[in-house]
Amino acid sequence: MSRLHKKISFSLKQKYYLMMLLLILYGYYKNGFLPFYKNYSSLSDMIIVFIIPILSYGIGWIFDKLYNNQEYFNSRFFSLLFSMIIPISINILFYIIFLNGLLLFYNYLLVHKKNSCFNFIAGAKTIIIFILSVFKNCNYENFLEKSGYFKYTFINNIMGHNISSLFTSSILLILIALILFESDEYYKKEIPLYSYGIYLITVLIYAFLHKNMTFILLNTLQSNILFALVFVAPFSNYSPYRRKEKFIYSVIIGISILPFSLVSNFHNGIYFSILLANLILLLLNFCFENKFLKINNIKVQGNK
Amino acid sequence: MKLIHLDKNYEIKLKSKITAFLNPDYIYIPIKKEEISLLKKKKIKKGELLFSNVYSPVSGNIIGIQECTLWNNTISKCLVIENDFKELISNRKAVRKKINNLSKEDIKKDLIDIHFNKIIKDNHLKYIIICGIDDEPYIANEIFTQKENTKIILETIDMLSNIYQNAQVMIVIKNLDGENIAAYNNFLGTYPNIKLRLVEDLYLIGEEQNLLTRLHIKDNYLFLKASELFTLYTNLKKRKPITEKYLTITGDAIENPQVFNVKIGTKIIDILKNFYNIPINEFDIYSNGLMKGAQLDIENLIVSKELDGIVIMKKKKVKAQNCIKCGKCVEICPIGSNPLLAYEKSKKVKCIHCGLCTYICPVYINLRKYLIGDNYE
Repeated sequence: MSRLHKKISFSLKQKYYLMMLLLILYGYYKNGFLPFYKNYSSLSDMIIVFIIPILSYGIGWIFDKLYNNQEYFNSRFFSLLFSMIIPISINILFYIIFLNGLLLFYNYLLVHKKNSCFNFIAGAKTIIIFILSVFKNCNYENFLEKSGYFKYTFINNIMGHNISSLFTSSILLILIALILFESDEYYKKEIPLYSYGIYLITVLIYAFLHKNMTFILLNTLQSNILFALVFVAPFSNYSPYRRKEKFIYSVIIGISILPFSLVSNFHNGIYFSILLANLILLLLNFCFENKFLKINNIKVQGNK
Repeated sequence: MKLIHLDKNYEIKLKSKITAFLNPDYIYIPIKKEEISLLKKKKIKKGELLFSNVYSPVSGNIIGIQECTLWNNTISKCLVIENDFKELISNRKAVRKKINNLSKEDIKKDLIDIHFNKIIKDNHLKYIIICGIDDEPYIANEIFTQKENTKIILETIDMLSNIYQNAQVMIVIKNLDGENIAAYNNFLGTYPNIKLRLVEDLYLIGEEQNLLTRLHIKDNYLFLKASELFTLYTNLKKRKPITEKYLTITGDAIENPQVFNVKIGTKIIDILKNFYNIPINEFDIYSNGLMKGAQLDIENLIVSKELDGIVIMKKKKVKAQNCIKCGKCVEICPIGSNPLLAYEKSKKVKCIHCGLCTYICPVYINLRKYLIGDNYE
């Protein structure tokens, strides 16, 4: 590609940006405009929702300039992606401080080439969940949902009306994103498919064991889980690239989503799963010094 | 081995005819230190043996020794011959034989002579495979060898099939090679024993093992490239040493890419000065293609038997970024190696230098550099 001077007409990063933009626009509508329109939130609350992604992108841009970051997935990209998965209840000032610290740490790792330890987004999300939980402020409901005026149905869920992180509510858009990403040769397509398949099996088993069929309807299409599986788990830099590793990674995520979700909730559990899968793979690689997962040695062919 | 189709720039088209450049002012022949003392003559003739298996491509005077660059970017001392343009031919005592009167022994001897290292078991040879495929994108030496010498190639194949009567003979070319398909179809009626096999346009399909796998042939075969067959013909029938070769000069930086017939030992810069008035410092220049070849400085580069082509490309504006661990290089490697181990941990990994890892990398890392080492690129 590089040497044949082929141009990548529509790269994975652009596809990510496109789908993130659409999800953000939908998030503006659902978490910003709608509560304000129905008089459940003030104008300032709506503006805060509007400025979070812009502010995140801006901070990321400043860090890129400061560190002269020419990475494929740069600070701008990370901060925008991170802004999408934060709980709606977050304090804007705390968020800005946290994001700055996060980007400082990310760029430090990048400069020292230690950026391959674990899934950075999942790690950051886990930390923010813990901090918010300590202050009992980890809430994913917007003002409209808090009012308890109505309950979302299964169809509402699919169409985008569900309780989720700030900009991850539209399941329909996430599924479109999955289809779009699957068409890209650089997307690790096995990870979301295997993980979700295994997660689905665990949900079915749990529902049958507890004879609770509504559990299936409620939890098979969870927007936060889907978003993390499509956008965060297969993220290039922080996910395995060998076939066997990818399979193990997907299986660990798939199996652990439900237990983690039941212990915490369905908005956070997936990020613990991703971190766990990352750590287990790191441990395996460390213990076996790459021998365990080494690909088969194939005899050099071509020259007889 | 999984083979893939390369996404090429189809705007790079070669001129349909071969251009001859057979009168360079100087010829440069790589020479070893110990061979320098053996040279006593100052005046030499065309085809005269200079040292082991090296013949003079022109007649003229030896004027000295100079350092030149070879196809793989190594520097070698070279004997400089000033061309007198008289083409005086040395008297060789070999007796010319009619091609149909040649024996198995003649052919075996010549095959060994020209270093094909092909093992022919007389009684067990089942297949003779003539491969007319250029794997390297934009290089078309095999295609032009066949196009220019269709009759000769068929005649030589026929001779081989007469000698090895039990063997099935087939010419294998790519299904996109329309001109050669048409050319062979015009003559194949005369040679009912020769079959034409078409294969897809996949990278590395011209490699011996890949092609044999595709054709479901395991052993008892003779595999020759079309250019090797042509060399065999020149050796057997004309009894003259190989002093000329085809060389493709192509790329998106030049206006008229074409295949040249040049003397071995010609300086590339002389060809470029004669045919292309381009500022070479402003372009990326690769020897032997973009996939397997090496990027080099062509100021002192000479044509050798191993040099098949020069690709001149516009300089890229893209800059290599840090690895994003997409794993495509691992996935695409035809021998299942992990180029990332070489890139990240400087480990030695198995490599057939196909260049696919560099080709597929989305962040433009030249992984071949890490796999091969700094000497080559």
